Amino acid sequence: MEIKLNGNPDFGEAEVHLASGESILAEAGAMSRMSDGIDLTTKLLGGFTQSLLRKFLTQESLVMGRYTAQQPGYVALAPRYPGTVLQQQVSGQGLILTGGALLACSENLQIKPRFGGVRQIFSGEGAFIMQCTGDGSLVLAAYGAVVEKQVDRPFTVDTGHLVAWEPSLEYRIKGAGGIKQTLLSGEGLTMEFSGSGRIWLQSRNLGGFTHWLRKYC
Amino acid sequence: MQASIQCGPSFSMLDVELGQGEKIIAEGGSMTWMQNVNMTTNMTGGIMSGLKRAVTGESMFLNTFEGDAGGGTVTLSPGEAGDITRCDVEGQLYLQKGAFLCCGEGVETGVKFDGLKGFLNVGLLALEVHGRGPVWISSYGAIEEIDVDGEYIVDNGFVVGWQPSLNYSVYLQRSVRTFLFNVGFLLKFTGAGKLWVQSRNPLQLADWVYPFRPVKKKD
Amino acid sequence: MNVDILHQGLFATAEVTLAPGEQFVSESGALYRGSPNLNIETSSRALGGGGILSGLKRAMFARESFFMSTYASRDGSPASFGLSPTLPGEMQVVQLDGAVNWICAGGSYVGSGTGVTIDTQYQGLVKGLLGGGNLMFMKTSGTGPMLVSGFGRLIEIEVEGSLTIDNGHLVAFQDSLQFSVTKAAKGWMASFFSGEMFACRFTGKGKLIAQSHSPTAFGGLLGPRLPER
Repeated sequence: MEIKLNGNPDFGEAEVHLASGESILAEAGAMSRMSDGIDLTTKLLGGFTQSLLRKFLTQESLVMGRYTAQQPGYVALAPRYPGTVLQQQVSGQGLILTGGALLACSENLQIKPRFGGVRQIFSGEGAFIMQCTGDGSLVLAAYGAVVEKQVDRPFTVDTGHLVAWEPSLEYRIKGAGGIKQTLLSGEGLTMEFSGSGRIWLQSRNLGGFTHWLRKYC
Repeated sequence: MQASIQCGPSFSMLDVELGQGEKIIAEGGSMTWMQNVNMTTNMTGGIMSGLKRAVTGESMFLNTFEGDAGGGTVTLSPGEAGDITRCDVEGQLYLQKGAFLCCGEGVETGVKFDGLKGFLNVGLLALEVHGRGPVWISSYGAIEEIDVDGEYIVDNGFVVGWQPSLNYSVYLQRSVRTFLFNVGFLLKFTGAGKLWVQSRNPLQLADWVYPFRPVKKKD
Repeated sequence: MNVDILHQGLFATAEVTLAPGEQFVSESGALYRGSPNLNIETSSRALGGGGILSGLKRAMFARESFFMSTYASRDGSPASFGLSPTLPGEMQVVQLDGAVNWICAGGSYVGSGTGVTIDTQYQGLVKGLLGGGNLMFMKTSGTGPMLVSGFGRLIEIEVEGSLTIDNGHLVAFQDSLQFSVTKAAKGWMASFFSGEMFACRFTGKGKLIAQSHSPTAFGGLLGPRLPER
């Protein structure tokens, strides 16, 4: 299996080349085009209950599409929004993803929804995050450009701009200051990361975009 | 203070390095991430300014970011996909609603509403910026700086900002029907000065997304 | 007549320069800036199905605008203007040579020179399920430049054999290709749940332009977050 990323940073898509018998899982509706001989079936990743939880809590689709090649070919996958697509190899401690960021993954990964912290419900991004473990490839889609940072000192991020981070990082969910600041500043909720590890951020967030677009509606 | 534009030209962000005590004033909601910086929220200019800003479409509140001991960084981004440009204000500048991202301490914001210069009630609601210092504006799409000398025709949804030395009027087209069905209308800018234009129109985008919006249920 | 694509990438725009006597048409909303000697005439075009009322309904609910504008120079010297589509994405000029026709899907047609004939009532041979899930087509023939835009990157593919493409990702294709609307997955349930209800299967030989992202998918993502209408 070979994954080519085209169109970054503006309109990233993942072109997955499959050998006979190989398959990849992708979120519903992600297929943009594919060559002949690719079968599409569905998979409930982790079973029905986990898939249901994942759908309601993290905005991921209930069912993943499973694309299997009957003969060598390719399937191109794209997210619903413009931005950057990135590929990460998962192993060991795994990776934590925010809701909606998952585009595709290899079959032997486990992706479980996790509780993000009470106040995250209000950030508009979904209260839950996903923990990904196993050995395989993960394809993530970010809204906007992606900035990868190595965090060693306390670092505050608006929750809408998070894509993924390493579990070695700890975080606290904060408002933007006191109650007044949180409500009035328009900043919403932020997460303060501490410890050491890598974090992937996106340079736009959907909440910010729809907030801006409302002015013209 | 050092500011640089990153991730351009499609998803631009502004990385600002603030020395201890240095400040930058930004639109509410634009903070993306920060380190070692303090944020305070206020309605700069009092209640009336805040209300006026709400009318023009900017968030009601402005946030002031101040560098902590040892200096810090704050990264700001607008809501829409597009670019960021720096304009240095010396006197006055007019910006289309939604275009203001942040400014240095010497710059203040007001509101200017230009009553209709045509026969439809769609005036250009502009944010007026005055003082001395840098202002960063955001665009939906790529940004083009045009030196107008004489005349120039632009669709109103694509205008980002202009210098007060330019005048504008609604450019009448032959057919009246075009006003009723066109998303925006064309403006003719006259005079000499700088005009900033974006390459996508938020009014057209709002129009395009209209059928996807949830339908209000009638009781 | 010159058609140049500027800012190719996320927010492409097209700049058209006309010599005196030349003309260009585009959907009315695409014009965003122009030189002062530009003459603009606007008229209505009924879309697929004919009649003013159906055209109006289409303008309310979907992609092609109802009005088209014709541009020319007013004063005997060259005139220039900029065209911009609604969504972020690339633009491309297709040179029609009179031999092959191009079919544009959805809202991808932006404008063309007057040597190009536009058939907005083209129904085509939409074989397959349920009317193709709301596909709208426009046939362009003749000679001259034809401008299309897409949501995202435009990918030109030489089809030889067959290609399956999700409806929302179709921009334009040569009419030498045969296409039918199918379900992408093996079973009905799979098609529904996997989100790939309507896909187009192209066979034969010809060129096809696809877009990397789907406007309906993006609209479906934004819609629920916006105020009710």
